Amino acid sequence: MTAKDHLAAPSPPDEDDPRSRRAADLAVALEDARDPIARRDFIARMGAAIALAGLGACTRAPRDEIIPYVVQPPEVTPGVPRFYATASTLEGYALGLLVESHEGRPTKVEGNPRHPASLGAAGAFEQASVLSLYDPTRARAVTERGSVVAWSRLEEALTEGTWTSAAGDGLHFLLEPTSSPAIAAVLADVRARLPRAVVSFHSPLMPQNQWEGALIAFGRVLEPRLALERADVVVALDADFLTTGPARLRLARAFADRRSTLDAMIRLYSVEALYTVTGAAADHRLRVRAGEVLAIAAALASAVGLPNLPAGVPAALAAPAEPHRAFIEAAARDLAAHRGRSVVIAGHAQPPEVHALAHAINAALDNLGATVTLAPSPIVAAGDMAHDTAMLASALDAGAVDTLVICGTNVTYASPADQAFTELLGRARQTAYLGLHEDETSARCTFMIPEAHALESWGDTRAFDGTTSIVQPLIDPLFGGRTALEVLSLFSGADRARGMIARKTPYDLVRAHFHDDLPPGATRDFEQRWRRALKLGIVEGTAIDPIEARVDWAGLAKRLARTAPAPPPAIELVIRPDPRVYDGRFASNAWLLELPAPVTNLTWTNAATLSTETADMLGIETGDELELRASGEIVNAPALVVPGQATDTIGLTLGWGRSRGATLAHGRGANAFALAAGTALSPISVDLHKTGRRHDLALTQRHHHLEGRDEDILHHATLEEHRRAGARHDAATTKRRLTLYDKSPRAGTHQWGMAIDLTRCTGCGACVVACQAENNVPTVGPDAVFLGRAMHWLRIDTYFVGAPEAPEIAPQPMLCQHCEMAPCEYVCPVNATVHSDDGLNEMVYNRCVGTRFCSNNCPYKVRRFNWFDFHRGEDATRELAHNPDVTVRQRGVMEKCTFCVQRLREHDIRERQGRATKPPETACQQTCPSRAIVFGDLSDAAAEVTRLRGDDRAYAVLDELATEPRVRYLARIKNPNPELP
Amino acid sequence: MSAAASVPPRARADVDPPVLEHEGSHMELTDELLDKVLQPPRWMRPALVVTFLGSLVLFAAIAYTVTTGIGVWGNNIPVAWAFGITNFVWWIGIGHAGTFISAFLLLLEQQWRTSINRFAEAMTLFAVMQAGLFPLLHMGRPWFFYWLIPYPNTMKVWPQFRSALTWDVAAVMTYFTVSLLFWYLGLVPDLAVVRDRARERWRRRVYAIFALGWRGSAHDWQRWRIGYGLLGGIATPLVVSVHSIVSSDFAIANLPGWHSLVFPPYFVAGAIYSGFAMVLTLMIPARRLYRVEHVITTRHLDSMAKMLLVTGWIVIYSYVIEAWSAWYSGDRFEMYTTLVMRPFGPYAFVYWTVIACNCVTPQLFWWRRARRSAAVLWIASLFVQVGMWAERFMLIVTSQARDFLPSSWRVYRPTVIDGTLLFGTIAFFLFLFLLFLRFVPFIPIAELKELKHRIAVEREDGARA
Repeated sequence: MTAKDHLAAPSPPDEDDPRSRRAADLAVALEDARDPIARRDFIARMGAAIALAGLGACTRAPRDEIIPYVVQPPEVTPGVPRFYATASTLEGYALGLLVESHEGRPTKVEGNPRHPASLGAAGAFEQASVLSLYDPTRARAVTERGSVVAWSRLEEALTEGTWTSAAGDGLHFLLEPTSSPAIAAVLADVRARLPRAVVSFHSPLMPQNQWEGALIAFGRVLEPRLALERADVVVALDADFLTTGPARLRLARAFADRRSTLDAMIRLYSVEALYTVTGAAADHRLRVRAGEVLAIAAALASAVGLPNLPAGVPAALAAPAEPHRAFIEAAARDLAAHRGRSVVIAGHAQPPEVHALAHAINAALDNLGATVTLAPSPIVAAGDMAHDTAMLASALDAGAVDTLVICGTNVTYASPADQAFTELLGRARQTAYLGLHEDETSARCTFMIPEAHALESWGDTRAFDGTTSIVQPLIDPLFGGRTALEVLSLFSGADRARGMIARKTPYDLVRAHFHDDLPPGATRDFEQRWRRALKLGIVEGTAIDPIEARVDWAGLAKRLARTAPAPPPAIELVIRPDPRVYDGRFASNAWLLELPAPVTNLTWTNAATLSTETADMLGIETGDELELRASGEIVNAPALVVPGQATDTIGLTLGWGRSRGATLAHGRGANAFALAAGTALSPISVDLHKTGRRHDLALTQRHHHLEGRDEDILHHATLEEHRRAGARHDAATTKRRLTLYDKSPRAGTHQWGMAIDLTRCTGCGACVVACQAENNVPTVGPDAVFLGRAMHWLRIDTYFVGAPEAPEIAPQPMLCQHCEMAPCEYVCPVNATVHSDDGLNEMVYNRCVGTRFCSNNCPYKVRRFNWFDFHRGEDATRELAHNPDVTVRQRGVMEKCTFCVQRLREHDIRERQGRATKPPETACQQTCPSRAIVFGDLSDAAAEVTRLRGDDRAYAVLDELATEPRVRYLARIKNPNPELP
Repeated sequence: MSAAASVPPRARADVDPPVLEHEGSHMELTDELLDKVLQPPRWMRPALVVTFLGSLVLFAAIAYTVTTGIGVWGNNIPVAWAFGITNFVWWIGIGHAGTFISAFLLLLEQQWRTSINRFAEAMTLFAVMQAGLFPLLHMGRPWFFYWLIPYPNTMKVWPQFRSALTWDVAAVMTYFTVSLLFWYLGLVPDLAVVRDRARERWRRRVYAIFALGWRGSAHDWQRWRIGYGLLGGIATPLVVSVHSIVSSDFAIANLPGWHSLVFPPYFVAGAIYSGFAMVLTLMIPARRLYRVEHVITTRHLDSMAKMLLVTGWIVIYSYVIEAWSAWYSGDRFEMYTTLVMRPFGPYAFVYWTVIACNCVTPQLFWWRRARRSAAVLWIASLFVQVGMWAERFMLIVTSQARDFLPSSWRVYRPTVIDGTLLFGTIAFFLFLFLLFLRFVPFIPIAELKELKHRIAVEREDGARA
């Protein structure tokens, strides 16, 4: 680290640290808002904090008295939210965000349209991050063996040890994978001071195999960047690229763009074991065991032909793929027919060889540089040994660790059982854990340091392509949390000999690195550039340029010759990241826990999924408890039959079965880490039998068959069928509907409507969480979900189409259709649901008495009822997450999608005032990665929504009921290869 | 319907048992019937205590529901109406027989109605009281129930008159009011008799208040007759209207299985069917316990059984028409609900219970011996009531559980509170009914004496001829 003197400050005693003081004051104010002195003090500080740092301090105004800003900061207008650019990080890769802040209180996250990984979209994890921020179960104080201690005590203890005099020998750091330039610099500084200190990175879901695969294929660690917008044919080898990986939102967008362009529709082949979102979007899906994908990749490679590979693809490697020859050859021919316009993608869970083969096929098809570019990873020490925790484990085992500092990774929980970190952590003299929660790891550590949430911290991070974003805090740390940057800086730049620790705030550190990273000569307008970076959410020109990489054919041939995959187990356990809690890190987030998993619609738990055939063979039904035995460990999990999963596989997602630090999820689901061996995702053999117990699975949807109602509910067709039907459609006259009612809309009003393109929708579920965050939709818990009381205003219906044992899965977002002839309206006895001039079906909560007749009469069943006072249990902290523009509904009233009426009304008001306003967007539309949802004004002939309504794919769900919905769906079109059945 | 009753009894004397088998004087008849009130039987007190305790359980369940939220019921989305509305329709259906017997049969001059009309009317009132609980309780915010009533208010908002629920409130309240008045008016002469014959002074006072100064003058009787006849006239269309409107709660909806024009007559027939069954359920034990078999005779049993058979067949006809029109509509959803979901879906056992109880049971009454056997009738009446409750459950729940979008299909399971409310209302109903038996002459004394007189006159006329 190159510390700038003007940024360094002498070390003050702990009590004078303004940050910890502020945090303490905040805690006092939150706890005892009635104490007038504390409150006054608190308000003053709050104003000062905003004014000084330009960032929002947070508060919950005391109930009994409302106090205005003492000094209103110039940029804040009470009641008008502001948006700040920041970024969230997963596995070290950044996703740019714009965060809505109400008087210094972040309430809603959106994607940053300028950010390369977001393009304006956000996923479910990002949408739910607001709730994690206000999680009342977060760690609140620095503790030493469970008792609260001062920060100074921690600082003192941590920076003392045998390693101080041994050049860092015995000092270990265990971090989350990171791309942060500031952290990289601090680490470099630490290494310079303490050359023998060891830094390791841990995350169960690092793209380790991808790095290794590139190492085999190209001789160096590179990451593929996909340009699906230029691809015509895609083969995904166990790759759920639409919902996982650092560029997932970008890829989903590009894929959808090429899907809905029917004249140049992309074709997707997917080879996978479990049913994923990508598999559901595929035109052809081959279900095989995860361990067989290598054979498929080899067979595909030999079918495509790798002319440069000495001796070709070993036949033994491809032999097990023989039964799938038709599929592979058809795919290979399709790939070959689209040289330079196709791409083969390997999934992170697949071994390095599959990645290497994918690179080789892409190279052979001239796709490199066209649809795939390669560039070094933005992750610090990518592909390095540091990303293997084995070294740390052996050091711990040998008792060679004096001080271990763990930053942000719950290593005790999130490690395969054979890496016994639970026990090993105790062998270090002292351990410190920086984490959001007091969890499984903190229980084994000497010190617990509450971590600042991403929305509370200063930092920097890089996107998949290297673009740097500055992480800006939206709020002061609610519970006095620290960032990894702060903790690591304890070990850098300190001059212990003079009794001085050069202490800098994370803000200073980030600014300092930003300053250092500026190109020479640009430091003059530093302040201007800094502000611009903060404003845009990205630092322009920081992307890593792709490089020209050549396949090392000889190396690849050597590696392939050495590869001899083990024979597949009788029943294979396939472990994958969870679409809701990921690797367990989101397990205390109720929005994510209650988010129905794509494909299965399961909430609040994971389940051992198995195919219809396997279930029949073993006599298992959904809800049976299974005892799974793998790697010598036993875990019990409820069974869930998922038609279309590969036979002889058991699927289990990570992140469940938490025992500490995620109160809401304790004891829910099965801990897949306990069964995993080696890396968490490699397939292993599993034994199972029924225990005889039953579980009530909290599924939001229980019936997946359309019952022959396809024409009424979900139009789907192949491209060919659609073209033929289109010709017919033009000839036929459209039905004229007779009506007694005059429905001509009032002139001069907007007529809101929506179009949902089912060809674009992947069913990822981001919109569900976005809606929940925007509209203060409560969570109800697993028992209520089981009873059928989930409150989501927008849900993703999942239908199984085709063969019952291997159906195509078709998602359909379902929300209030805002019918022009709404069946709910005429049955309400008290006028609580009425129609507005601009075509909204409005819900008047204050008037609702809760007869629920409207729900009975809603053919779409999108109305949600407050069976209890679902917001009752919320504490003061949790309440901060509410959107102040939306009513929090009382017990006993009906609610439903409003088309985000608060945004529409704000738009109307601005328009009336003659102020600039953008066309309003609904929350679901705004976050949708694939842009499947389009909202707009139907009275505007030029609007996108009007155009889509006139599309020949547009239809109304349950059209025959003549409800005339304002939501139109666009038929789901697939582009199958005519060669394949 | 029992056409025999309007024919002079002599003509069919060998077939129909008499409507009254009392051989003593009018005075003896009065004494005998008054004794039931003035000297209550010994089982009365424990029976009151037991049913009162049952009622307390009901009140506890109500308190729990109102304070916690109706999430304590098993309802969900899509099944937003379940036990609550089923119980409502069932109880209000039961409440139909009383007015039907009193008013309809009064206008049709059926002699056999006399001995049981008050009994049936009281049953009606108490059943409607139970029924009235459920629309209130099933609301999310019951404390705002009055928003369904049209009244001028500062919010300047009226109820929504297109909704059947608004009509429902008016229909049920009207029905209750008219039934109460009709019952009370019929009761006035008998209250006067109790007033005159009661031993304790306080009792005389209380009955005097309720007897409204009845003196038994020719004037009184003339006015009373006109009033009673008029109220009978008003009450008669209400029998038809209330359940027609209740059926609109479903028929105006577009839900498959609800959206059906056959509902109003179908519901009315079902209501009378279940109401008659309830009259039998209560009457048969009461008749025996109070030893009034000579007043409520085998003839009554026989007529009631015939009513069950007739209304049972109307109900069967409705079932057939419902299924037929579902098929004939060609509507995919309607056909699925009526022809697949109900007989073979997750609630198939409810459907087959309905068929067994409502369609098969009344066929017993083609046999005279079954019609005249109190035991058979009583058991059959229970079957019919179970069947009619199940029918309402089937109509309400199966239609919602599987409607248009298969994604929202979901079954409903009742909770303990759901069951407690149902059985609690039964206890409360019985408690009110026992109070009625305890304090009010449950067989109309004056009307019975009139009947006795008329039979005697007819007999004399017959002898003379």
